[in-house]
Amino acid sequence: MEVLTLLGHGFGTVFQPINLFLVFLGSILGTLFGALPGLGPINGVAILLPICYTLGLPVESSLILLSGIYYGAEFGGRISSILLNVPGDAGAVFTTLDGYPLAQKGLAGPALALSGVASFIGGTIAIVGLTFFAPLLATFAIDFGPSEYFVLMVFAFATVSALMGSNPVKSLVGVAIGWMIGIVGVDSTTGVMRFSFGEAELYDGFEFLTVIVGFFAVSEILLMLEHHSSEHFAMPKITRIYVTFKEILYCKWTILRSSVIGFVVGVLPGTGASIASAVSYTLEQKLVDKEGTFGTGDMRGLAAPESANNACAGGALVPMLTLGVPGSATTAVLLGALMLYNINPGPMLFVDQPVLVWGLIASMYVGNIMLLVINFPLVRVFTKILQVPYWLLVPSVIVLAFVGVYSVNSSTFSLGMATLLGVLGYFLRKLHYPMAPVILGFVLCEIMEDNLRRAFAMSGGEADIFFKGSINITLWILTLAIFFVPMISKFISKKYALGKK
Amino acid sequence: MNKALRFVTGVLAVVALSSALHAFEPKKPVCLAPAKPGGGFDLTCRLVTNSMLAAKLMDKPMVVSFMPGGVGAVAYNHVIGQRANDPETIVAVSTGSALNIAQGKFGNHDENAVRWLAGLGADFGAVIVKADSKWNTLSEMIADLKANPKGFALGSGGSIGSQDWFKAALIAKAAGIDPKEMKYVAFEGGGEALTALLGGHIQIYPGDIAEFSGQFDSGKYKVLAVLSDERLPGKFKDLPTAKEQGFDVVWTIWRGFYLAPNVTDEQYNYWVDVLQKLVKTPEFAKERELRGLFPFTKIGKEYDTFIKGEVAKFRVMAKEAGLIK
Amino acid sequence: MIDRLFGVFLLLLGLFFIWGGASLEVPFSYDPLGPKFFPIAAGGLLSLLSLFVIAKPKKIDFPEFSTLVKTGLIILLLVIYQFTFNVLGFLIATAILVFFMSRIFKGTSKQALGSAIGVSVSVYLIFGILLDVPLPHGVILNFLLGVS
Repeated sequence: MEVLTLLGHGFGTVFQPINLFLVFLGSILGTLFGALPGLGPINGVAILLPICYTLGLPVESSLILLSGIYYGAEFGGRISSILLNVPGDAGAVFTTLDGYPLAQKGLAGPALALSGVASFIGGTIAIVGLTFFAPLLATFAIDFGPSEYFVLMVFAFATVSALMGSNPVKSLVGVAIGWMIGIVGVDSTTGVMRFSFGEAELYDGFEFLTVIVGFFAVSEILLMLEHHSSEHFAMPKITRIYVTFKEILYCKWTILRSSVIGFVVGVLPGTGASIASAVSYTLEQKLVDKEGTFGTGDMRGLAAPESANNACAGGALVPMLTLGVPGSATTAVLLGALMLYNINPGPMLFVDQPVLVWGLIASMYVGNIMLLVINFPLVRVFTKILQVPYWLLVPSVIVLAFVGVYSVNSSTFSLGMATLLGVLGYFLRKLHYPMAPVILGFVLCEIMEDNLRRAFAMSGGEADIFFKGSINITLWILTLAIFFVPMISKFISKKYALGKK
Repeated sequence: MNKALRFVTGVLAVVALSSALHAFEPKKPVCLAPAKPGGGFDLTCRLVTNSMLAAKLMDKPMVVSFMPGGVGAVAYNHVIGQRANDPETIVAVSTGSALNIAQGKFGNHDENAVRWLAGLGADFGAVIVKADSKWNTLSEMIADLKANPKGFALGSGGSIGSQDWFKAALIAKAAGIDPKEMKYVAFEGGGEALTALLGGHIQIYPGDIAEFSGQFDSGKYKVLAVLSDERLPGKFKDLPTAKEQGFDVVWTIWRGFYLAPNVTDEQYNYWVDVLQKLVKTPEFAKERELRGLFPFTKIGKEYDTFIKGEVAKFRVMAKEAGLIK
Repeated sequence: MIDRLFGVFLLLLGLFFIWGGASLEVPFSYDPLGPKFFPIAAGGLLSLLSLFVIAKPKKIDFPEFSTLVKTGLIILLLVIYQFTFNVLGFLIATAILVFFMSRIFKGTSKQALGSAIGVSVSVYLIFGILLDVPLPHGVILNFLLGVS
């Protein structure tokens, strides 16, 4: 049990007063960054990193603070999703689907509290996984080559096809539009510029944050105007601010399954919280949503993406710490933090920097508990947001969102893009095009294209590369199962019903 | 009224005089890193800001600000378009940016659009394979590549035309293979390429040695050659160069700075002087070592000539490879 | 009607991507698909789908004219914000944006003015000063501070 001894040393590092304070600070700041629309983990970490460095904090303290902001933001991202239908960050897009309907039913309090619990469980499962299985998982991640990533994306698409449900044409339009937005910018294989119109600011394509702010914050505000102008406008009432134990138990399997899915997706470099929450949400929809209540304010539909995106944040640290490869955009900045301190991340990190690594892991245990404890009293405060009058709330939301977009690359061009996407998003939503497929198209298609073409470059154009190896075969079987199991089960239950007659 | 006017003109005259007496000195010196915090350009900036602070060569501390996008293209356009007179800001630049300038990927601006200030450090290319690879020397690897050009995949962190790709192309050329015919896989950054190497998805990774140093002692990889003119110092001293193994492949990743296009000669010379002083200090040498960079110092006119030569050279290479017309 | 019009927009967007993808100049590529395939596929998919939308449009309730005017005004305000952000500086540009948005969302002049000052100053203090995000000062403030 060498791990436990090392973890014990890690707790020794965390319980130094300064570090304990930084865990606390990171949790609070992270929650705020996550909660404010347009400001997500990536801004939080990118903004605080130069400050930590300038203040001369030691590297383990910096990393404790920065990663606190990272998982704190995943934790806080749910708040504006639930209350305002504006996701605080990318991972929280799927939280809007059931979170906002719950708030409209007057259940904002229980929704916030339950998602806090789900986030805590997801986060904690991920840290336990990180503590005990990191080296093992690293070898698993290494086995994923381009062909495996491609088949994984096929699997992801098969899972989320459930989202296409009621209106397949308009859902697919959403995917196509997200796909197109993802295409803009330099082609990562040939270096050819695609649809960048000679604008230097478009060379790297659309920033994720700009897309989220445009499609969700700006378009939501344009829609709010309408509800606001109508005669029957009334803010949802808040009935209670706690979650019952029964409600938590009702979601227990959903939370556990989604946590594991989120963690595994997080471990794979290049995937992120949005994929983790999409897959877990739609999988739960397939597994437990017998009455078709997902999307109308189902507690399980809220718990699934929240436990998944917090677990994903923990999972993303596995390749970062064991291989020196970022598991997500935010961990890429965290890796940069190490470089700034002249630590070259790589497989030797666990050996060369035990204080740093185990201090960080221990801090995450402490941080998650802090987040949960801070969370409950804050539910009352956050639900108060619903009582802020629109003439103050709406301009504040838009200014914060735009400051977030601006801070990514100090450019007003991105502000214009957010407005443009906001107008497009307004029309899409007005004409009943669902928005979740747009985000999926944006995220999944890019990973799909890159890896499809990488795999072809490796195989010299042969397609058999996608059917070689046990990971590929397993993923294909799972994909087929996703398609056929519901059909078969429907068939069997029909037969059973007929037999009964 | 008259008195007031006289007073104002008097004050103005004094102000004008005093500013003429004092040569240019920046009030709020900034190093603009055209990348996210922690990225390569951030490290380039810190080399100057940290050592400048330690050596106490400036009254005001230099701050780092960020403007990511297109290997520096966004910052290049921004400085030329909106800060053309700004003498306070130096902008970080590297081989990768020069390559993109040569290929016309920096918008309408070419290498004559800014004032090149100084190059202050360098990294070198390296040919890296997995530890259990059958190759122990570059010659063995090249012989195998020659015999079976499609049998082995090269992979690194950049698209066709990036500096990572050019390294792969030079290696392929050394093996007598047309770069268009080699097997090349472009990943998102060097880290992903290294992981793919470890997983056996690719066989050869043409990377950078300083960037690789975190993995150097892990025992998971072998370095077959460094792409420098001479052997490197320190822990890399046992690594053979490609040259000494009979292949004339050299790849330098220099890191430097430029100033806005319309700064005056006085302002330009201020920066040249202060950097001349800086590179002679032990604080600078120490900071450069910490950043994992190797000595490479070209300041002022010398750097300007160097860059223009580099861009011209890259333009020829890009034309040869069929990347530009 | 509006659904069908948007369908036409989608069709044009799809065709634009097919055309744009096909006319990319690619020196060479290591995979058989190249950078052209995905834009053409995405454009093709969208064009095809848009035909369904055009063929069978649904009736959509659009808000009354006065609301649409306000929607247009907000978009205009956001565009103005983008272009005044650097020139007027964060504080003034934001105050203007917040004031008018607040008015559109039925705030009284006093409430709007309070929001304008409150939001711009507090966001500036938190992000510009405390968190060191380089928000632009703008020409006027720079002149007053004597920075060139």
